[in-house]
Amino acid sequence: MSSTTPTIGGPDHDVTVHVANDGRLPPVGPYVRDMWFRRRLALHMARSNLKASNADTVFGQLWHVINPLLLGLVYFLMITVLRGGDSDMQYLVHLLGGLFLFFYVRDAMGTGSTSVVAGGALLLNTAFPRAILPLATTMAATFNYLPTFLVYLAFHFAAGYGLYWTMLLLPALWAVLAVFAFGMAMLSATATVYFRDTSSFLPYALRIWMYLSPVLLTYDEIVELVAKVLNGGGSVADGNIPESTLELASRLVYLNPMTGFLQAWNALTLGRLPSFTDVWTMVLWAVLAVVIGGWFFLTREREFAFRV
Amino acid sequence: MSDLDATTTQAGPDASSHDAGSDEPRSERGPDAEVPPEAEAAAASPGAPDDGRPIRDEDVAIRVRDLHISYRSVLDKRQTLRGRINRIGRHRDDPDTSMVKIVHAVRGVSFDVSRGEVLGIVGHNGAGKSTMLRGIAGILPPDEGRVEVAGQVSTLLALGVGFNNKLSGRENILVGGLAAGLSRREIDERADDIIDFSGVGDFIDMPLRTYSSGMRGRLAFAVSTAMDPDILLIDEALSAGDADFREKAADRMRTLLGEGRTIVLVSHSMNSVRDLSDRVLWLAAGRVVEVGAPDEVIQRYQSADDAGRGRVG
Repeated sequence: MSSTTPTIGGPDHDVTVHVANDGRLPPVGPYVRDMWFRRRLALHMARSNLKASNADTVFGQLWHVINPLLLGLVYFLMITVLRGGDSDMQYLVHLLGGLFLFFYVRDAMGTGSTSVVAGGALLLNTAFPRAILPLATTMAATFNYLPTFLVYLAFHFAAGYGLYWTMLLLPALWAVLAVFAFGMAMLSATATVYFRDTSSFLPYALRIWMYLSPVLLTYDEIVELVAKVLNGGGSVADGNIPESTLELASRLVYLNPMTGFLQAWNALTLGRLPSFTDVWTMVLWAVLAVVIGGWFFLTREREFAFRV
Repeated sequence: MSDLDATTTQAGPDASSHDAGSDEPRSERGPDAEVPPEAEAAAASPGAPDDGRPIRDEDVAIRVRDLHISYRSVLDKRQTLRGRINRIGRHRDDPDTSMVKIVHAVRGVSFDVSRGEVLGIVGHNGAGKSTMLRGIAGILPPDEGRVEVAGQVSTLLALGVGFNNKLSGRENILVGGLAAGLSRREIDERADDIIDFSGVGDFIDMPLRTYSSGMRGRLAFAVSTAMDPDILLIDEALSAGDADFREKAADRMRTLLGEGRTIVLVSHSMNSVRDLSDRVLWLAAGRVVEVGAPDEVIQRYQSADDAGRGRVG
């Protein structure tokens, strides 16, 4: 094992020692400190990302709002047709809220996946904590999604919902979601370094993920779907699915990381407090995403310069 | 810790081809153990005292010991999941399967650079000069050996500071400066100087893709020399721009030298290397051929070149 004790340098100079990359995690403490030290770099990169994608113009920004809105209307029509006209304004609000939340994660992962390979020359010429790159794209995605909340609110009020004190907790929810998104962005960024077409496959995977989340369908519908699969048929309305199977299904749906977030969002926007399960599962998923994504990223980031 | 006994004074081509164990703590070495890296380092730092050494060599800014860097040169640069799936079932030795070639670019290099010293590095294309510089900067990890760097490092490498083509010159100054670890205020203070020195004029607020290669090089040079680094690593930057700018750049370099900065300079321009360097290191096929006075090393490098024996190893 190489010693990292410096043999040069006086008291007035910090000595950096580079030794062989043994595929281990770099010391997390100094890494995070270094990232904090360069937080302005992340912020500025996020701003440049927005600028490069024209999101700093009125129409560019508008597109980020209109895009989920239009898709929301498309899905609304589709589900309404499938259900034979049985949809209402409240369902549209549920749909839009879910889409906004899900698209935030989708965009963070999508832009995050190319963050490192797009770093190119910066990676080859400057030594800095590489996690700054997916952090910057996650921050950019966050800035992008702030205005969509106002659009959501418009539909929220139009559907007859009011302002509730629980909505004050939404920023906390978004903060946990941002941590989750950052972890997923580190994961997709690492995958893209090794497989450049990750970003081409990602949209399909994300779309399937969305269909399995309580976005288009409600939570109860998803639970029933899972229970039906477990039971090999039946329906809740007919009462031929055992209570225990429903119970099991309602737990299994939390294996989808988005379930907790979407359920908590629904609760908070409708004036309720989220269930304890919602809260602990979303915090757990956020922590897992950052730990696993961070581990993949940090143990490999010294190789990135060779591969971009 | 350090036991730089200056017994060997000439670092030959094979001085660096010792065993790979030099990264173990020095204190564990026996007094009579063969320590070529230290010996070579002693040769490489003429100012090193003979006795009464401190625990840490305070006057050394860069210490490279038995540095090996190899990278996987991926022939198919864009590895894809589809490609990987397509290759499933093919034999490993199939030439289509082995897309990765290991390039052992730096092979056991050891040297010291004293504080305030300018070390010139000469060698052919592919000798490992740029890879070694990136190793010193901490951008490419060593396979073996170690690099120690005392103080803030600024890099001026062949590709520019890491410029983003979509952003304006001004924004690139900001991103480059922040990435190098400067504060926003420090960058703001220097921005006018940088713009002035680079001489790109009104282009500074245009996207970088509108720049000529000379303008990019000048801006890159202005940015990295304005970082106020303790150690400056320069790769072929003096060739940027026209004769006027080269003169200006050389002046800036001399100013930096006067300020006691440590500089490692890679260049194919023997005149710049001879003018600016205190010592010159000749690298061939990833190994140190010779370290010494600029005139002598460059002369031998050039005559070896003439004799067609430039690539040793």
